[in-house]
Amino acid sequence: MSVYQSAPAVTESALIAQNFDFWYGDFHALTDVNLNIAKNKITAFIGPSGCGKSTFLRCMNRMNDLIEGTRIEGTMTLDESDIYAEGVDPVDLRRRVGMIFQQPNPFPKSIYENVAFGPRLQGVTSKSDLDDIVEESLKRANLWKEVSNQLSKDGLALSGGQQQRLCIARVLAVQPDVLLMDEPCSAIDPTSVQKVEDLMAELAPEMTIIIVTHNMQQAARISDYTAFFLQEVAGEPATLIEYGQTDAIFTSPMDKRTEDYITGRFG
Amino acid sequence: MAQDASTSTEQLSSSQRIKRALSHGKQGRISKNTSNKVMLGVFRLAAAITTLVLVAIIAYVVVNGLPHISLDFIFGWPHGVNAEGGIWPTIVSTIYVTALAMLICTPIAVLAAVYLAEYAKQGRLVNTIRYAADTLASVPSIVMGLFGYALFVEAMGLGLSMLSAALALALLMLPIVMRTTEEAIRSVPRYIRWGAYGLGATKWQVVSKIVLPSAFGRIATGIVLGIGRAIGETAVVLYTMGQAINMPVTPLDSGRPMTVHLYLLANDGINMNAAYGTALLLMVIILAFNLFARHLSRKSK
Amino acid sequence: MRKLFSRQLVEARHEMLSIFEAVDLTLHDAISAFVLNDKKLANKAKKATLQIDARCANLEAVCYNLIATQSPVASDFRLLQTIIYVNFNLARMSDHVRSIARGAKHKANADLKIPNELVELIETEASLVYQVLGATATALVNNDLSAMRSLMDLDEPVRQVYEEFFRVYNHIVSVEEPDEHAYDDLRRTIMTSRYLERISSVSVEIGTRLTFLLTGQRWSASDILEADEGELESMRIPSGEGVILEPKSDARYVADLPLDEVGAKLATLIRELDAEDEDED
Repeated sequence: MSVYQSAPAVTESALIAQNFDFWYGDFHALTDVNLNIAKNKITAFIGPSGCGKSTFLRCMNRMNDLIEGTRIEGTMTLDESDIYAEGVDPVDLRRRVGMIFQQPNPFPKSIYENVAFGPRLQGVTSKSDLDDIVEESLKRANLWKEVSNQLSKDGLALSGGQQQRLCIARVLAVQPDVLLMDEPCSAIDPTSVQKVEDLMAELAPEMTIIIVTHNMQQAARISDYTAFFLQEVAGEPATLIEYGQTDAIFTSPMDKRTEDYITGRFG
Repeated sequence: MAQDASTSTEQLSSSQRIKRALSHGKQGRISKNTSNKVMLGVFRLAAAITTLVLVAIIAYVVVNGLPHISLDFIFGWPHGVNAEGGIWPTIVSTIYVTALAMLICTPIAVLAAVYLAEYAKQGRLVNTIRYAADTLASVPSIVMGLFGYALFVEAMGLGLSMLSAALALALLMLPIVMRTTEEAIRSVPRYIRWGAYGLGATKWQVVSKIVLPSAFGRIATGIVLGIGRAIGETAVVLYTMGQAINMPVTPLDSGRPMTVHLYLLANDGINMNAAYGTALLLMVIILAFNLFARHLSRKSK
Repeated sequence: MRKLFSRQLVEARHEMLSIFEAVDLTLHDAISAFVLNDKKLANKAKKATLQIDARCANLEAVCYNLIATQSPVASDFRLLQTIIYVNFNLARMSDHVRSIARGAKHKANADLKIPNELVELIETEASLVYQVLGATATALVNNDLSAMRSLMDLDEPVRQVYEEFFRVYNHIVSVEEPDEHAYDDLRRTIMTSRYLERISSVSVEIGTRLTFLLTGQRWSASDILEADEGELESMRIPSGEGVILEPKSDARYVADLPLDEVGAKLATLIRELDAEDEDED
C-alpha cells in the first residue's frame, strides 16, 4: 500500500462512546454508536436532518439532561472517565465541554459581561483578572481588534458573524477541553463563515473540536475526521454509518449510503 | 415512438386545459374591484367608530374637568361635605394603596411565574394553575371586593384599611402580573439559556442572571399594567378601604381613594365639576402609567 | 438527484472513451501507412492526432471546470481524477502516434528500403500493442479488474518483441555496415518500435488507474500484481452512477475498434449493439 492510504488510527482519544443508545421518552433516537473522538483534532458530524448527529453532540456535554424524559444506555467517556457516571455534575462537565449553537446567542448584556459571565460563575471576582480573561478570550476568538474600544456595547448590537465569535470567546473564557459546535455557520454570512473556520483551525491544536454541519464542503475543508450518521428507516433509531479520516471519507467512502449522501444522490 | 408522441400530446392538452380554466373562470356578479372597495369602507368605518368613542370620552372629561383643575384642587384638603375644596388625601390614598398592593403582589407573582415557566414539570398541574390564574383575572371586581371584605376586613380583623385594600388589590393584580411574567420568561430564547448552561451555569444561575434580566422589560410592563388596573379599581377598595377622608400613615389607616371619591361625588350629584376634575386626574395618572409601560417594553426590545 | 451533474460526468466519461477509440484507430492508420508506404494515410493519421490533442485539451478543461463548480466528492471525484489522468496519458499516446505517422510519411517520401525482417517485427509488435489497447478498453468499459490485471501480461510480449527488434537491428547494422544515410533511416524504424512500446506501456498505466476508481487505493502496477484477483475484487467500494454505468452505454463509444482486439467481453457487447442498431433500422 502506498503512504497515502496508510490511515493512522486515532492516536489519542478525547471522547469515546461505546454501544451508546439514546431515547427521548419512548422515542429511540440513536442506537449502538461506537466512536473515538481524536484529541485536539477537528471532527465533523454529517448526515441528513433527523439523523441524530446533533442529539449525539448534545450527549457529549449532557445538554440533553435539560430535556425531560431523556435516557441513555452504553458509555461515554471523556479523558477516560465516564461522564454519565453517578456523582458527575453536568454543570462542571459543561464547563469542560463548551458548546456553540446554530443561532448566535449572546446574552443581552455588554460584550465585556458576555465574556466575563463564565469566569464570574466560576467565582472570579477580581477586576484585573476578569479584564485579562476578557481580552485574552476575545483575542483568541479573533474579535479583539473589532471590539476592543466598545466593550461596554450590547453584545446583540454586533453583526451576526461577530456575535458568533463573541459566543466562541465566551466559551473560551472558561478554558474548555472540548468545543462542541452545532451548525455554527448556518446562520451567518459567508465572510463570517470563513472567519469562524479560520478560528477553528487556529484553536484545534490545543482543543478538541466537534462540529455538526449540513455543509459537506465545510466538513471536507476543515475537519480531520468525519462521522456520517443516518436514520435509515423512519421510526427506527439512527446510528453511525461510517467514521474515518476526512480525506478518505470524501474520496473513497466504504459504505454505499455514505457515497450516496455525500455525492448528493441521497434518497 | 408512437407511444411517446401520444403521452406528450396528452400532457400538452392537460396543461392547456389548466390554462383555459384559469383564464375563463366565471366572473362574480359584482366586480372584484367593487367588493374590494365596499369592504375597505366597512373596515374604515369600524376603526373610526372605535377611535371616536375614545376621543369623545376623553374630550368630554377634559372639557368638563379641566376648568376645575388647579393647584388648590390637587393639593388642597376637602371641606364642606367633602365635596368642596381639594382632593389631596384621596390621591395619596390611591397611590399608597397601589404601591402597597404592588409590593405584595410582585414577588409572589414573579416567583410563581418562574416556578411555572422554569421549574414545574409541564403537565396537568401547571395547566390547572394557569387556568386558575386566567379565571382569577376574570373574577368581577365586586366579588373580589366582597371576598376581601370578608377575609381581610372581617375575618383577619384588619378593618377598613390600606392593608386590607392592598391585599385585595394584590389578588386582583396577581394573575395579570403572573401571566405576563410567565410569558416574558418563556419568550427568552432557549438558545440564550443553552448558552448559559453551556458555560456551566446552574439552573438558578441561568434564571437569575440571564432569564430574569432578559425578561425584565416585559415583566416590568406587566407590573405597570397591573398597577394601572389597580389604580382605576373602585369596587374592591370601596369595600376594603372605607370612605373616610383621611391622610393614611400606617397601613392600618383607613382612607378614601380617588375612584371612591369620584363615585360618591357623582352619586350624590353635589359637585359635578369636582367629579370631572377627579376623573381627569385619574385618567392622567393611568395614562402616565400606560405610557411608562410602553416605554419599558420598547426599551427592552 | 444532481441529474445535470450526473449527465456531465457520464458525458466526460464517454468523451474519454471516444478519444481512446480515436487514438487506437489512428495508431492503426499510422502503422498501416508505415508498412504500406502510404503517404496519404500517414498524413491523415497525423492530422487525426492533432484533432485528438484538441479534444484532450477540451476534456481537461471540462473536468477541471466540473471540479471547480460542482465540488465533486467520493466516486464522482475519483471518476474525474481518473478521467483527467487517462486524458493526460491519451495525449501522450497521441504524441507517440503522431511521431510514428511522421516516420511513415518520411519513409514514403524518401522511398526508404527497410529490411523486411524489421518491418515484419514492427507489424508483430503493433498487433500486440493493439491487444493491449483493446484489453484496456475492455477494462475501462466493464470496470473489469481482472482485465486490468491481464494488461501486465499482455504488455510483456510487446517488450520482448521490442528487444528482439533491437537485436535484429544491431545484427543488421553490424553485418551490413550501412552507409551514413541508410544508417539514419534505420534509426527511424527503431524509434517506431520504441514508440509502440511506449504506447503499450502508457496504455497499461491508464488501465491500472481503474484500481483507484473502483477501490480508492492508489496502487502501483507491482502492488496490483502482488494482490490476487479475489483480493482485488473484495476491495471494490461503492460507487455512484458515473462509475457504475450499464457497460453498453460505454461500449457505444469504442464500437469502431476491431472486434478481434478488444477481448471477448467487449466484443460481445459491441456485437449486441450492432444487432440492436440493425433492428432499429
